[in-house]
Amino acid sequence: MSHSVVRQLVMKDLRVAWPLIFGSLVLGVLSLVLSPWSAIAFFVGGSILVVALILLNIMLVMGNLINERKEKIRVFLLSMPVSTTQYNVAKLVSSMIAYGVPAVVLTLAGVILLVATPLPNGFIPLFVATSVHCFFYFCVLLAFALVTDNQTWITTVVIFGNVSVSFVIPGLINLSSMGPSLGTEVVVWSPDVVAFMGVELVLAAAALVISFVVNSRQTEFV
Amino acid sequence: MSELAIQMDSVDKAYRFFQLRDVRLELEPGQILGFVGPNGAGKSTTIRILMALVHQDRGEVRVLGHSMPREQAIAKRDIGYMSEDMRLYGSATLAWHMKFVASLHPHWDHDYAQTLLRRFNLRPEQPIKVLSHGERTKATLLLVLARRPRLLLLDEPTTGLDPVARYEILRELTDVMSDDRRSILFSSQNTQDVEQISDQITFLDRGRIIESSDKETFLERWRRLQLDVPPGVALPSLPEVTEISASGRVATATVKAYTDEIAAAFTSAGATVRDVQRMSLEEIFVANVLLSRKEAST
Repeated sequence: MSHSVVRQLVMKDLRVAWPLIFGSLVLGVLSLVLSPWSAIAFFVGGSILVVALILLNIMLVMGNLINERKEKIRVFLLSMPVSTTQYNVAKLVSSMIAYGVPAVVLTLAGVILLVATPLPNGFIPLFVATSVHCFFYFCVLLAFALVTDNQTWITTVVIFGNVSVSFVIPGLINLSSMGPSLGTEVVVWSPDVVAFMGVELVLAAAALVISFVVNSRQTEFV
Repeated sequence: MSELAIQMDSVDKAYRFFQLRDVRLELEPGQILGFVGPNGAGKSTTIRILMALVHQDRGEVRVLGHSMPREQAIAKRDIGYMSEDMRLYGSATLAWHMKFVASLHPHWDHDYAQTLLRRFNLRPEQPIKVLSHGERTKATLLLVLARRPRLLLLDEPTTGLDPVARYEILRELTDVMSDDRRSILFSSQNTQDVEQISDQITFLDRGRIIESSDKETFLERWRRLQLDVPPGVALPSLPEVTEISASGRVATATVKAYTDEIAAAFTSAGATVRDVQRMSLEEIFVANVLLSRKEAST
């Protein structure tokens, strides 16, 4: 496989997605700046950060994959000296970078903010686990978008993904191993939280592998 | 013998409501093949199979010597493909697209791209979304031609264009063929366009190639005979005659392989041959399709 071709496709995708990446970083940084001011600002800031990650996820996958296929731009891209496998690898890599870089930067910035300010450090595991869940949601949506542009499937994943965040955060807070330490300066990486993140990361990887297997059997790329 | 630009052998592709059957197609280097068929005939599917955008169920496809879809990435280095429904990034400029395509094509000809910009009156700094349909088509053709491909696969490139834009595009394609190593497969419903630039013509209908030949042979073989048929005279049934329509004493015979013997056969039966007319490519195409459908239904 020509790495140079994949690299060019990835660079092109990142140039196209740049306003989205920049916008999500700005929104995320604003939410972090807001957080230390008061308890209410902390929860509002945290919510905005999650919204920024979800918006980045949905808009990125829609723009980078779904619309590119629907608007027949993929036909133009596949008219280049590019195999369908190279195209899919490039899509995976560019989407991972476009989502992963802002998500990692904002998650690290959030952790640093929690450590460096009077905000309780006990929130760090919840914050990181929520970020991992958003990444899991992104991987599942990306996996679906890699194999189908069926609006029903995509909408279903988006609805379930959005709703899942509303269940995961309270679920983590109510864990007996996490809840009591949230308002304190003690960072507790309980086995429950670590297992939750581990399972989500494994499932995310599995979803992407399955999407590649399905893709390798496809015979239509128009 | 030089390598064929296109070689399709016994290619099948089945969909729920459409089937491409036993497609055999060859295109020599330096030739322009006009691919003519009604809507839904399978022209786009055939071209997409050549581009590996659709994989055949059965049969062998070789493009510029490369097996498709397996060697698509190598083959596409020398293929320029353009289809009527292909789109570019609306918010990006033509210059952005030129830079992107050049990054993937080592043979990108910058000077030729500049020449085409002038000829097509395009401005590289314009976003694609503000271009008219004709300008978008010319922009896409620029991105295809400046790669200097050995094979051009053009799927209805002139659809929806005004006469001037159509002329500009056909003129450019004719110019491209001044390099006799290049080949073009050009699909269209517009037989005038095909007649204007093609050397070879292939008619496709309902997923089957119904006839394929060089343009001059087509135009030379097909004739329409105007006959005066007195009452009581029965016209002979000749295998070369595809259709006879009559109104009173006047009859019109469509002939797929005209020779003087056919006129003589009508004369000896008692009819008078008033006129022997050449047929346009469009008339030949329609007659061919109707004949093929009649044969298929019997």
